Amino acid sequence: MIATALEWWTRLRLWRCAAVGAAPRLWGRVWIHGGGWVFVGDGVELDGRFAPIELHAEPGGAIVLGDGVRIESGASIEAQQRVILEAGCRVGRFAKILDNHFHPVRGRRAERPASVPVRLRAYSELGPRAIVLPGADIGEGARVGAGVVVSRRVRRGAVLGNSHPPPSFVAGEGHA
Amino acid sequence: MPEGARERALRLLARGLRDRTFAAQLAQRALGFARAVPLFWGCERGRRLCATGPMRVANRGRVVLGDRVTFFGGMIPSEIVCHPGALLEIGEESTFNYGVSIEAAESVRIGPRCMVASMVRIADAGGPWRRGPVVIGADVWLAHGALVEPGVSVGDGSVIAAGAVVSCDVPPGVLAIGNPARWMRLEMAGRKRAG
Repeated sequence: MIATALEWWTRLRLWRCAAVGAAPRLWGRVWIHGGGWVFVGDGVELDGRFAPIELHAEPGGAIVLGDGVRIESGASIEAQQRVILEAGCRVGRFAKILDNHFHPVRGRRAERPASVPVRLRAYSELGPRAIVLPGADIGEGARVGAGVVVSRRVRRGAVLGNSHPPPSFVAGEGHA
Repeated sequence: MPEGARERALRLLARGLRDRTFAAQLAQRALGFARAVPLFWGCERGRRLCATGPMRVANRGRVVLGDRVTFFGGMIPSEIVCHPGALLEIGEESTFNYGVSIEAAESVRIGPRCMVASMVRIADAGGPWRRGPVVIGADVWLAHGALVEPGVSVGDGSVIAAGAVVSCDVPPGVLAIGNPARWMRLEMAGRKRAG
């Protein structure tokens, strides 16, 4: 009975979503705004305890969270057209996913450029503070490391980012 | 109220009555103007300073804000910290998104019409590397998550790409990418390769 009350409360907090699948889990705060569509699949986990999660879809835009997607605190997804997270994707803390740069690099900065949809394929992972820019297509099982900026296609299974410390640091010694 | 301003206000009101989204934006902006006054109380404020959304202003030095500076809100608060004896200057018509952190221990100057995106950090001290004044020119666009390290000077019109860590001076009119930031001329950026 408590479980159903909790799910009812979760679905109430996700009322702005266009559709919510089975067994959603939500901790902390999620800010869903913009007027577009947010589709939440089955078993999606949104952990906004440390910092709120932002799901911003503009009118005409859609954010699709596949089954089993997990999004950590402080992450922000902004969709002017389409951002799709397939099944099992994980988005780390304070990561950012954009499908529009909002300003052009050249030309008048007030003119919004065209959106380019973003897709995170199944079981891909975004590390904390990663940034996914318009046009990125992250392949299945790819892992994007902390702070890495992705703007293109990422091969399936690829691992991006530094996984080893730079050679000038030796474990166990301090440095001045 | 001067005549032109009254007519403009009536036009805004008429549009707000027709369009609910516009009315909400207008109300949020009006609230932002009102909030900015107590938030930036000890600072030298320009006209039409707007702060929508959560912010923290800790001014123990001198903070100078130009006209029409806007701090947009979001789910993560922005902060302006100015230590004793420091100068923090923000030029007119600059805009700031959520989660921006600007900290001045000596001098941080941001030029007019800068666009500072979400989660950008600008500080002139605090890392182990060095301290030094930070100068950001006019019309600079700092994209999401950019980091400007102490002692850096960014030239007019430059774009700091998302996630870039700027540790050396950036000349005017370039696009700076990466960690540490490397730059290319803005006219060349985004061009398809020849052939």
